[in-house]
Amino acid sequence: MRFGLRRQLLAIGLVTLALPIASALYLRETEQALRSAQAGFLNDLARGLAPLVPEVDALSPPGRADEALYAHPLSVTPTLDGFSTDWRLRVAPVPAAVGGDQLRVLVGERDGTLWLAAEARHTVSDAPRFDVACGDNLGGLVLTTIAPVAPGAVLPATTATGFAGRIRGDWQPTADGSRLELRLPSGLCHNRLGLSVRAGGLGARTYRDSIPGALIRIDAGLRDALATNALPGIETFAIDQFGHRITPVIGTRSGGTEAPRKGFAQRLIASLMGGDADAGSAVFEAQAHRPVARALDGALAGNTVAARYSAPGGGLLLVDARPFGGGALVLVQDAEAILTLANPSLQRLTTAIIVTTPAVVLLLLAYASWLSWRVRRLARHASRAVDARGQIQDVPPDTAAGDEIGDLARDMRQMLRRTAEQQRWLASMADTLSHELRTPLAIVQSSLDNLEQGALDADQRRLTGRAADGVLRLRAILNAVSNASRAEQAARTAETAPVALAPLIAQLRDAYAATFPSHAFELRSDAAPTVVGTAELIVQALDKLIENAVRFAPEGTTIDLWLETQDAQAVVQVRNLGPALPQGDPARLFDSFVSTGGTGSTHLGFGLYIARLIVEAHGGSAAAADWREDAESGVVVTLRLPLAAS
Amino acid sequence: MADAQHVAIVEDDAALGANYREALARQGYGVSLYVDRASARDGMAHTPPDLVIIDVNLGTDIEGGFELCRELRAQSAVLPIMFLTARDSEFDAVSGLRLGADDYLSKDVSLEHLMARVAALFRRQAALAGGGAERRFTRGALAVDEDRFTVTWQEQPVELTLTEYWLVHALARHPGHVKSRQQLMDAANTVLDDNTITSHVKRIRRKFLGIDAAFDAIETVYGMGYRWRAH
Repeated sequence: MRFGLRRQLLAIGLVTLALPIASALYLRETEQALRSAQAGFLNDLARGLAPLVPEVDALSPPGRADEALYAHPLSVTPTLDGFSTDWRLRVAPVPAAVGGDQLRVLVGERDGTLWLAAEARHTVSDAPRFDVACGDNLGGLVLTTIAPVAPGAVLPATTATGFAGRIRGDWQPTADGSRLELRLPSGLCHNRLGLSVRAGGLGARTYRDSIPGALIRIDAGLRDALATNALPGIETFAIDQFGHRITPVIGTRSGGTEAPRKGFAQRLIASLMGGDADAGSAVFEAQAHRPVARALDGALAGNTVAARYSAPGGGLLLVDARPFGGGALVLVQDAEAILTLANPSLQRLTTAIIVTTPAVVLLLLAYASWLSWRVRRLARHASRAVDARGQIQDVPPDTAAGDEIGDLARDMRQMLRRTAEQQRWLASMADTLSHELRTPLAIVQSSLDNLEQGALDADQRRLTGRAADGVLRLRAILNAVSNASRAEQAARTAETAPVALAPLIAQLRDAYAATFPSHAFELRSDAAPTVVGTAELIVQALDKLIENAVRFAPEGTTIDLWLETQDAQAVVQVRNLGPALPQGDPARLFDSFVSTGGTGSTHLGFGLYIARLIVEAHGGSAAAADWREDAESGVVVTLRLPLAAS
Repeated sequence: MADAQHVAIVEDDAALGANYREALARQGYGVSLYVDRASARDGMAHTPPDLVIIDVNLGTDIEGGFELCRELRAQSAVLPIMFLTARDSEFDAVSGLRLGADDYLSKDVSLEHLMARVAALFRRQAALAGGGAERRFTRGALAVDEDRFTVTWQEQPVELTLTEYWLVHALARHPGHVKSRQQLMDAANTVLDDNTITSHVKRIRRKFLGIDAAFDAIETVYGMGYRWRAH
């Protein structure tokens, strides 16, 4: 593929794309640096905070995660009515480890009192029996058993020694079972709590073996330690080894949580950075009792992790989580959406680059197209102006363009015009010359004629005879020249009519055979083309071809005349045996004054020139070529004439 | 001939004029040689010629010959006028003949041919003036008067120049025989190139067609020449 002007300028235009690419890379790097600086700042805070917090465990009692019960801190004191709806928690009761949805449990804690809500599914006619078990790492025991008999307040049926009276409950049947709400002093349970229910064939429990599952509660020591070292604008909390938050969220974020405007530039940069947040659209819920985030999983696995999350309600969070006392310490800070764009002038610059670069590329492309269109038009004009033989056919139109291409066009136009004038002068010169020579030639001839009328001796007659021969030859030359210009004139002005070539050429073959008995003429015609033109002129063109062929073909050989139809053109070929064409462009054979020599009398090479003039006046073309077949070789001249529209 | 017939030559080239004069004088004609239009006009007023040979191009008077021809034809409808010129274009020939010239010759013509022409024009002149034996032949609708160098078609005269007459004469003399271009040139006492023969024939056809739209007696035999169609 040609690397044209348009492509070149497009390539140069594409270079300007380096600017936005470089800008994008710079922005990306800046953004990364800013983000890691922010992360580093939070990391420093976290690292500074960790030693200030007393060396405590952030561990909940060991056990299975699905057996653990989380004691949600309650913000109000509930009414003991069998329903947990007044606990003001936004969490659902947890299905039991054994029996699943048949028993769902929710645990709350406020001011040294544990609240327990249970929903059991069972046949309404069956009377349920709830066992509340407590324990520590060494073992557990059933603290109390509740077997309600009627809706409303219930008292423990049996209670381990010393606890009676400190446990209160309320039981309510429901459409598919019953609910139990229970209140007991926190001190009754150490760090394990379990609940089981039996009703008819039903048996569900929150723990599998004899030891109840872990009771996870806010670690007061840790909470106080964190609260003491609260950092402004930063939320701090700790999680246990299961990921349960075991301190309240200490501190508040600065709170700039308005949803960021997202302009074109922001969106572009955000996508360059692979999104605002590191974890896609995941929302980090610090207030959840068990915040879910990959960063926390990482910290529990022993790594310090900083990551960006979407904040609940919009905005971004930077979360730093690090291993701490078996669990993890988590710091949360507000983060700017696109740090780089916090700088308004940088933002404007970015927008300007993003907007102007494609505009510049488009402009360059358009300019290049225009430029190359002009150059191509100039080239088209130039190639149309000169035909295959170098004749100026058509001088391109003038241009008003004031630039270098306009200058070039004007120069080319002037050059072509001058060359055309020169060509016209050259063409007319032969004619003028032959014309001007006629009178002196007539003087010489008439003088010789007069001389011959007088009394001459033999020597004088011999000399005047030679002079007369010279005059004859000179006249033949002049006639050839004027014949050519006459043929041109005739071809231009002749009346045209449809000419059937096949009968014409058949007639000509016979005429040639009679005229040139030295050669045989063979006609091969497999078409009957009709062209529009002047029969006399076409015959004249063929005469010239035959004269030429006869001149070069050895005596006794056959000259072939072929007629056929090809591509809406009648093709006439005259083929003779004989010497090959001279070196050089075969098309030049059809120029005037070009003769390949050969034998015979005065020959100026006007024959093929006239033939060409005639076929070109008919809208056709002439060509000559060598041919070779087996041991024979020679020249074939081809005339092509457009077929008459049928 | 009792009085020597007088030929006026208007030729700006002195040497050529002198040669023509010598040749004509040798034939027994009285000859006046003029080099431009003014002297020709004056001279001819004094010595009226029987035949005029005019060069079209008279020195700086580029088309002086044409102008002179027009003037002479205005004075006399029968005076034989012949153009002898180096201007051999089709257009010039037509212009000259339209002005009433009887013949239009190129300077290529040999003195021998020229003398034949002059003699022929005088013969025609004499025949037209009356008298002389009637030498004529007919070919169908064509009648050729060999004395007056005139031709009729369907009994209507066809206005032919001398050259055209000789071409028709040569063709019609032997109907059905193909006359090559060379033969036609010889018959017309002239040297013409192929294109000139072609345009002569074309002009002849047109003149006959002007009388008879169905005229097709002159047949082109491609590659060979022409023939008079034998009916």
